[in-house]
Amino acid sequence: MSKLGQAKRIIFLKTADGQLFEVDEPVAMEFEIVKSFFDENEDAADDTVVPLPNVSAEPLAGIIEFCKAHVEFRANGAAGKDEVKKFNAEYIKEKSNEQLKELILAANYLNIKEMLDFLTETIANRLKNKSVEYVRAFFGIENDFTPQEEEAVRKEYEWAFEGVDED
Amino acid sequence: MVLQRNSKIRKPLIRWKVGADEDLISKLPDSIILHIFSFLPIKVVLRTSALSTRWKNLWTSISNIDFDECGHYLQLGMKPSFLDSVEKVLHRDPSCIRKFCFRCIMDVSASRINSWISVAVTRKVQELDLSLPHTSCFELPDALFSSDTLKILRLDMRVLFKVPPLKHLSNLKTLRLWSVTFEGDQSTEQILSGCPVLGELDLYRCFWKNTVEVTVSVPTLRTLEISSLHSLRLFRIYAENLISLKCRSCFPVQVLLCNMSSLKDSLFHEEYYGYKKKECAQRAIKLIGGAHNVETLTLSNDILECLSFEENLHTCLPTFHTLAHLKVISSNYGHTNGALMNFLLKSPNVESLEIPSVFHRDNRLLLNIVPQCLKSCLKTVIIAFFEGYVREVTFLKYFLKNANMLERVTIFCTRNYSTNLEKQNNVYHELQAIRRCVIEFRYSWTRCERYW
Repeated sequence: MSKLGQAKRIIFLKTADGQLFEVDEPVAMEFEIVKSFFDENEDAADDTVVPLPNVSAEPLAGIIEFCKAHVEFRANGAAGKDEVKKFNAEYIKEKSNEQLKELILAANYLNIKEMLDFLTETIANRLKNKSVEYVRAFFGIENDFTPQEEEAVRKEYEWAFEGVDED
Repeated sequence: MVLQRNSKIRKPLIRWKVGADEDLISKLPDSIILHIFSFLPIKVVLRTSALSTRWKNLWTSISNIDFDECGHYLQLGMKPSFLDSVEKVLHRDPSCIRKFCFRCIMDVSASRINSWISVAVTRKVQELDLSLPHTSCFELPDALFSSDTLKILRLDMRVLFKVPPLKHLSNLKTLRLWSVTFEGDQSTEQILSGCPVLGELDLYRCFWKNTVEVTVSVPTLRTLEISSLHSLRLFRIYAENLISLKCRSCFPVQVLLCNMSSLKDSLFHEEYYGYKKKECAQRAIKLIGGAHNVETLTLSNDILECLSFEENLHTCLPTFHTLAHLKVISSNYGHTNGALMNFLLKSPNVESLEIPSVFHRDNRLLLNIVPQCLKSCLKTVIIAFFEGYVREVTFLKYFLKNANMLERVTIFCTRNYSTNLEKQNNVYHELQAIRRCVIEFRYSWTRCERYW
């Protein structure tokens, strides 16, 4: 009903750890899962609480911060400009490994394409031109190959292992 | 060996986040790791197979297969391993792929290329991008034209582009053909009519056998780029839904734009004008005239130079009623030509003007009659390659004096001038004395060093 009204609509989201979030409609609609919830339940009451059983409060707060900024960028016609890149760089800088993993999983579950693309591309850029040893050290990946196994894997696509940056 | 590796690791230990030793990335679900792979060339993806056993076979379900070795020569002896990898990667898994890209600067046999295309089509490829050295000539396999999934096709190779009878590319939206040969006018028509949803077309250095005149009619087309189609004399385009057009270096070809009622944005550039000057000017007028209803027009200073060989340019040009943004680009340190003023006289509604610096010998730049757009519309002027010469200041003064609605003048200075704040200050006050509006001095590599 209030879809027609002028007042700003608030969407209620409930996380797995029981926290209730009040989110402005345009920001909540960035989450494909929330958008389709309302598309499927057109007559849902204004105070309907959307349950998000796979997301906890901490990553959701981070995601809302990101989406809110991006909704504003788009409204100001700043999408794709330097200030967006600057925001994204600052945003990622503050995140720990664990937080980043939680953000990726949550963005994936909520189905927020722009954010998921940004997070996964950030990781992709960390892999570019880097040697296997560098990537292992950077992400803390434990090498559980025997030396013979590793040698065989490298031999299979030999060409791919040449021409990497100096560590 | 072990010692060496450890010491190597310790040095660059800028981890994702200091203090976090836990393996973040391996714990992500496969679908997300595959998403990460989709941003990467296959070379980087294959390297992840050696990270740990978790990663060994993760890459095999990738949907973007991107072999790009254009940037450098392969290390000695790596060619067989490289070509083998393409085969293995393509045959490793039968699942659908989104993209197959292969770019390299060494010779690859036609039979190999054709078999790869066929595998990609079988795996329902949506985007095919091939770039090969122009030393050998290819023919495309018929299999390509039976694809109903292909959305994007980009070829930069010497190939005879021929569609087998009764075949279509029913989902093709983007077609980019560089250095491709067509058999004749009919074949071009046949190809394009077999692409019922084509929205984007880019032809560069293409060659037509047995014809010098080609007519292209693509009602679905939204963007078109054509350049260097030197084997032709006449290229006629019907595209009533075209929005954006870029046309570069087509002389001596006469390009005719027919029925361009939706066109919003156009760019024209010609390098060639040393020969038959007047004829070239006529061709350029006919070409640009076809875009008379655009909102944004970009002209190179070379094509302006070419237009200026027509003495009656003002009467030959149509009126550009809808033109709001006019931009002159320069391929080198070129200057704005006086022909620009003819454009302003014929464009009563221009709101923004962007030009490279001006040349002092050209006395047609300061007109006695003030163009209508200056009197009533022009809001912003951007001038590039500015060095502070008197002629440049005089030219800017002309705008400040006559453009009643002027809000902002942006001056992109050359590197030397950008550091001379005292000179900038003098010019600033000289201009402010004429009209109060925002005047800013800026430096940017792209606008002050080269255009392209």
